[in-house]
Amino acid sequence: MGDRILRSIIAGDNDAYGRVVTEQAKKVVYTTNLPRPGGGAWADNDAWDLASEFFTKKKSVESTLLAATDDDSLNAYLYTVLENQIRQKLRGTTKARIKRRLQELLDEEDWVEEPDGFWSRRQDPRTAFGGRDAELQAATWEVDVQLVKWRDDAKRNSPFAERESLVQLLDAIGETAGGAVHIDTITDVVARRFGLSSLPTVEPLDLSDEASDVADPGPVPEAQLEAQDDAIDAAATAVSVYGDLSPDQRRMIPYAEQSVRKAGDHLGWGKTKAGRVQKRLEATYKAELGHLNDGERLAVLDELAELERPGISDMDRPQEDS
Amino acid sequence: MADDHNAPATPDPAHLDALRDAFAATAPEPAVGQIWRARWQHTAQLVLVLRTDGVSVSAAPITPDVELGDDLAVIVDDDASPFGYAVLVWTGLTADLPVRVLDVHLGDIDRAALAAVEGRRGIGAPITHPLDERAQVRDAISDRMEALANAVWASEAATTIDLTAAMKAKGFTPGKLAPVVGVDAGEIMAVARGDTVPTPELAERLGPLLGIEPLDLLGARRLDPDLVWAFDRPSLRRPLRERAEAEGFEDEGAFRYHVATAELALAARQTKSTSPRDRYLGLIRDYLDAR
Repeated sequence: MGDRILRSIIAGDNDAYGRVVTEQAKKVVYTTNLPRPGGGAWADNDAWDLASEFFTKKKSVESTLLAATDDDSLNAYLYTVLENQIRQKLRGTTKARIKRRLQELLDEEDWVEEPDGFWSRRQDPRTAFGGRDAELQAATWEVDVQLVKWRDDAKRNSPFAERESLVQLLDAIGETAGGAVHIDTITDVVARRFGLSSLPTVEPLDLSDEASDVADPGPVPEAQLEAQDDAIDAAATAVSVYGDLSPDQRRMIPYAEQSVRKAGDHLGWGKTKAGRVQKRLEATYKAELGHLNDGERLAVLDELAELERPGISDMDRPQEDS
Repeated sequence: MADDHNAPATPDPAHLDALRDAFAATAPEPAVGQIWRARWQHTAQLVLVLRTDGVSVSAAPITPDVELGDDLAVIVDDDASPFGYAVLVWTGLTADLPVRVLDVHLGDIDRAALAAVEGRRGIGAPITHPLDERAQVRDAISDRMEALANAVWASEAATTIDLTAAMKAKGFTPGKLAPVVGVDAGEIMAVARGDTVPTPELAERLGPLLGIEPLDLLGARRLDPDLVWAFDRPSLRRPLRERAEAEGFEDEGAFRYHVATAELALAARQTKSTSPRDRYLGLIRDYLDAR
């Protein structure tokens, strides 16, 4: 593995840095599964914009060079940084939608907004919470959240489960704060709980695509709900869950019930990595399938196993949300 | 930056001046409060030195993402950070690293910031849930610190010599061999046990008698800790790496081992230095200056 390009950049070749960043930006634009923020199809100009944005941030410019040890790792880190720029924009959009939904829920749940922007439970004092955001964040991680994603074409909607999770999170925040919290803080804390936190500058994470909407679609007529409850479509649910899994989590599906060592052996991973990914997969199952009864859950898991069955072609896999 | 979509984007040189100066500078000896890029093989991590004895450093990893810390990750504000932007010190992932992994000295933090770090009052919530993305960040940092903590020199052709078996095969005992090579039997036995490294001169005499390459006799034993200490000086890292590349070595650890055993072990040079460490430093510098 050579480091000629990395060394030339460190020695002072700014043009070399520009070329390699632009190359990786083009690669991201042409290969990413992420939707284009703002909609529409990816275009060549987007690569230039991505590269330009990268160079406006001293932190990104320096951190990438400090993390890389050769040209291959430089390219890999650049790809991660540039793709994360896109993810961050998508997360910002989702976060804005969450904020609007939270404001509706706070109103529906009879919280009091006083002064403007600051919300407290009716039984709590109106004085602002003087503690740290970390305390509120820690409280949200204690709440078991059901992450049923709302989709236009889903055959099963469970808006009350989704709503209930959001309300539980708000209650946890209110209980911990014991006072008024600004809506931006509430939004940040809830967003982080849903995996919409700030992304690291250069660290490549095992992430699912930033596609699904976490917002609650609102109440559904009772009769329609009953009909949906009677006819769970395991395949549709499996496709939805599959779309939310990261690449490593997907590979773990067939081995989720095996020991960490055996799972690692099958996947060619060490025990540490296998254990971590297995835990994340279990937690995702709990969050997205926890509201199902045993029979329904098993049906969905069977469908997931089929999706990840070795030999299934990429053409047969569900495509990512766009 | 020209707003011309036909020309590649380029960095603002001002964003890189300080970094480039740091890479070009001669690295100092480690000291508390320093921020280094630590690196060994393909692993790199920014670290803050909390303690050092010259052989190893107790160091906490640093990342630039201040929003992703846990309850033990302390922020160093932008005015206290040598980067000009705030960084996060993960005190919960502090590890003992050998000095050999210190690569580029990037600056220092002041006493007030150091005291805040040592207070270990982190800015974030504890990481308790497997779906918390910070868990992946923390795990990745932890893995790198472990790799750096375990950085050792490795000979690409390490061999294990059983000296006792070799003597027996040639019909020697330590008592019979000792007068032939001009040392006490006790020294032969200490070398056979691996308690000491044979001198180059002894290796030159023993080798032909036992049918072993003198270099293999030297290479199979632990290196003199003072020799290792000298090779691990941060100030020698870049010149050694440059020489390694010139000599066709990709692995800087293997190159150090090669120089230590093949080049310096047979050096007959005697200096007037007062300590073995100074002597070895002199030998290494002479080797680097010689070509």
